[in-house]
Amino acid sequence: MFVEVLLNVLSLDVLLALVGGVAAGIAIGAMPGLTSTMGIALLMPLTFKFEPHVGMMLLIGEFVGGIYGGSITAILINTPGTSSAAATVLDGYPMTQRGEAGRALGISTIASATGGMISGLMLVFIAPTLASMALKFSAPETFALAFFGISIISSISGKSLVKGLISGLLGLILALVGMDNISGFTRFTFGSIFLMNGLSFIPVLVGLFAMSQCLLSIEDLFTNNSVDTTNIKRAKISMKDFLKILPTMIRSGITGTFIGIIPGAGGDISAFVSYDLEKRFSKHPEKFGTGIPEGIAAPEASNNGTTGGALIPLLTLGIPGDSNTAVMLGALMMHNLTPGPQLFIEHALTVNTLFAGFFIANLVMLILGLSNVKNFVKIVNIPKNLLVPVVMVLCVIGSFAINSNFNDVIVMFLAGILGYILAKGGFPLSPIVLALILGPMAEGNFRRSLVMSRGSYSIFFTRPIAATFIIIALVSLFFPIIKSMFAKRKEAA
Amino acid sequence: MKKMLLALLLLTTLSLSLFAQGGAEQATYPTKPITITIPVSAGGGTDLLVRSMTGVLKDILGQTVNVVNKPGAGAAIGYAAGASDKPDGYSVTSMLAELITTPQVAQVNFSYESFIPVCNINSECATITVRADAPYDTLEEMIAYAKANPGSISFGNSGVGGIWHFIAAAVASSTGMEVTHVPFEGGGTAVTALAGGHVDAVPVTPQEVEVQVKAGRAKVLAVLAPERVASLPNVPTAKELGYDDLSFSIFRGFGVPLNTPDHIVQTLSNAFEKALADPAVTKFMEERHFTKDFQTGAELGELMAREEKIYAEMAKQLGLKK
Amino acid sequence: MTTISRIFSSAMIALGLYVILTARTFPEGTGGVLGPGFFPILLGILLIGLSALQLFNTRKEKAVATAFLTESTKRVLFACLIIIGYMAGIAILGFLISTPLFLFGIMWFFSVRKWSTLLISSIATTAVLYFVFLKFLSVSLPAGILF
Repeated sequence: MFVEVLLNVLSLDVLLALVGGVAAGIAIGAMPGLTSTMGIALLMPLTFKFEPHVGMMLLIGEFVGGIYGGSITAILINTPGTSSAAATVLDGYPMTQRGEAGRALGISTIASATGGMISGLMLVFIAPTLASMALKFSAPETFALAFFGISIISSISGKSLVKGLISGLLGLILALVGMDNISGFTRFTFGSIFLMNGLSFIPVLVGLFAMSQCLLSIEDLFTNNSVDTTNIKRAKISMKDFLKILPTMIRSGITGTFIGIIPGAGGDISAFVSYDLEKRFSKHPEKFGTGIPEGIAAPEASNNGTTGGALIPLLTLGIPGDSNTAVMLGALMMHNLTPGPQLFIEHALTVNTLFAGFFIANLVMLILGLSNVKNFVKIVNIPKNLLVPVVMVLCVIGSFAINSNFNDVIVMFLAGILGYILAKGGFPLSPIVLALILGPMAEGNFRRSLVMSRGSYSIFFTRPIAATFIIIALVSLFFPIIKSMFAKRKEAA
Repeated sequence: MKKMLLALLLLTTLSLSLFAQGGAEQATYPTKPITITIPVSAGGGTDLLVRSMTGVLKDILGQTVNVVNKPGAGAAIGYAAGASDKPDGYSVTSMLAELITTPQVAQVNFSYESFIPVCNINSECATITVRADAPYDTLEEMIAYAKANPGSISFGNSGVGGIWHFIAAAVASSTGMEVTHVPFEGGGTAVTALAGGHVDAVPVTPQEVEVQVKAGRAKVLAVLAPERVASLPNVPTAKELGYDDLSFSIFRGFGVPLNTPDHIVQTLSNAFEKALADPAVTKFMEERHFTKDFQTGAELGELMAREEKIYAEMAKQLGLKK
Repeated sequence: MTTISRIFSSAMIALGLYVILTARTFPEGTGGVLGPGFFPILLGILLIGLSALQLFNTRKEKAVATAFLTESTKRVLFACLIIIGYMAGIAILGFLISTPLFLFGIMWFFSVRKWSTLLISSIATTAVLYFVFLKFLSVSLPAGILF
């Protein structure tokens, strides 16, 4: 079996599919507005021309590369290419501003590959054991996880907790727009059919980060306050960096894998959760947000950790862990590879080839990423007055492309102005993004749980996973508030 | 250098104007690429089916056929866009059951009558699928269980006012079971909840529960179709069990905006019929258990008018009428 | 920063009030299940509370008295107008025509004066994006209502 797998993976067409998939993924992921899910859906028709395992390699490569690619623009121009990279801007961009873009990219590349490999190991060795976890998650558990995720707002708020919470609440309120899934009632849509679906998330993300960043840059354009580019070439990831982030990568990779397994939770949530965990258990939490290696490694290892995690319930149970794998489920079925325990028996060779291909995809990503750091960094060297217009065009067509709807472009632009005002007023942007992702998940599942329990709140406390997450969330939400109150009292005394 | 730039600029302007003129109308249809709007997201069943046909359609029509996904709000966004497209035959919209259910529950500016039906290509049926470890193995036993334990059965659906909510409600009212409807974000999520034992039943298509049935986590008690389904030969229809009214056709067809010329509708209908007979498409549909069901535009129109009455009545019963 | 933060906090109080008042008209939940208005009202109350707290916390900070329309704010506003023009251009003329015009215009505004740079970057960017999106990714780009 081993030799056959090896022959399968090392054949020219498989390697080409992997390299092509990863490269396409990185490019699509790096472009604001184009997501890895979209890339997979776009590449899918191509896969029918190949043998099943070759076609799947293309998709796996795209998936892995797409999640990583988002970090490149997040680090270089403060614009997450995908929602999974929204947490990476927190420390990635400050490092670039110090002129250490090469170092930041090196860290994100190594962390992404390491996180991916860790999830790959878990996929190969303990997939069946972990798979049952996906089945335990239903409405109450998902609510509890989302609630826990929202509690992270208090830790990514930056200087002012109150401002962070206001941003978060604004995000939660914006997420209310649209048709309520539980009652079928439309809220805050002003009679518009377009708004019935709620504000599309990707255009809001692109507007809040990319467009607002463009508007902010305009002020610097005329004063020539650009990034110091003199020492970019020197700054590379060092052995010291690597050793420093190693424990972070391992912890975050494992966290990412677990979150990837949970249906409906993907790289965006896991990146924030890992960032929060690393910050909480760090000896120097105050340095997070200033551009430290752990602040990049944690979200990047974690979001790539979800790739292997999401494949676990997909292959063993036929349950997709996120939107990427939902599309992949379609591809598997098209190739007559029905997921489930039988897949591992009837198509053992194909499954093992996929596993091996998953590792090679991460390796390819590592090589492509590290060897291109110099090329990526050149983006920072492009004069701002040429770069900003191009990014603006990308914002416009990226937000159009996601649903082919021009209204999304308008939403993106308005979000850009909102982001600009928020940044000028010292309000952090990440809480809004987190709230937009998690708000509908928390509210919908809270009320869905009550439908399931016919109105009884005990459903949240009698199910162990749900109860645990809710308790963790309450602690993490109130701990910083209590801490800051004590700190103030000390100051006063 | 300057001369070269000038030449480049000229060339660009020229090619741009050529692009622009490509749209000029000519007598023979089609003369430019056709776009099919799909009101649901990429990668789903409808999307895969339509995308599998585009290559063959290109050979038949002699023009590229592009697919654009405009998902969201119970397909309302896609239909609102599709209904306001130009009636020139280059904009085709995929017509699904949501075209009938969504206007029942939400304030929208379109109905099934905002489109000229071109043809139907595929129909699926509903099922009553329950957990494999449920204490009943037939529909009768399930009904008896539900009556002995009132309020114990929950049906997962894809959202309030969605097609599966309507069908579960029809099952409840026809069989006299008392049912709790649990809305999820899409049929797939509802099936996941069934597999995890968080709801007791789902009414979705045989295709959507296939994986979980094969894995031994779910069993199909009945199919809600006029005849037994090829992929589930041992499962009785609800009709056989005495519930004549429990038979639904979840259609997948195409429509064009009102005022599209008749000959174009006919050309498109012929093209789809031909594509459906293509060996590659046939193989794809068989492998993925898509049931071929070609119906002409007129037949699809009648079908939709019939279903519209049924769903409107159910919306009233469920108190969902807008 | 303080001025903007104060204005924004006040706007958030207004938003909170609007959300609460609107959500009060939403239908009630049935059978112990929360209705669609519960969370909006809860969020509205929290938003008002926190925004008021923010205003209270900064009451002693002196807002630096700056003119509301500084030179750089004016530039941002003007850039926004150009972008709005570009969006309108896309809707009417389509991507292929509006994009080079937009790039040319906004780069000129950003004081790029070298003709070769202006022409090459606006045309090349449009061409690359056109081929990447339309031909390679087969993602549709807005064609404009004229075509």
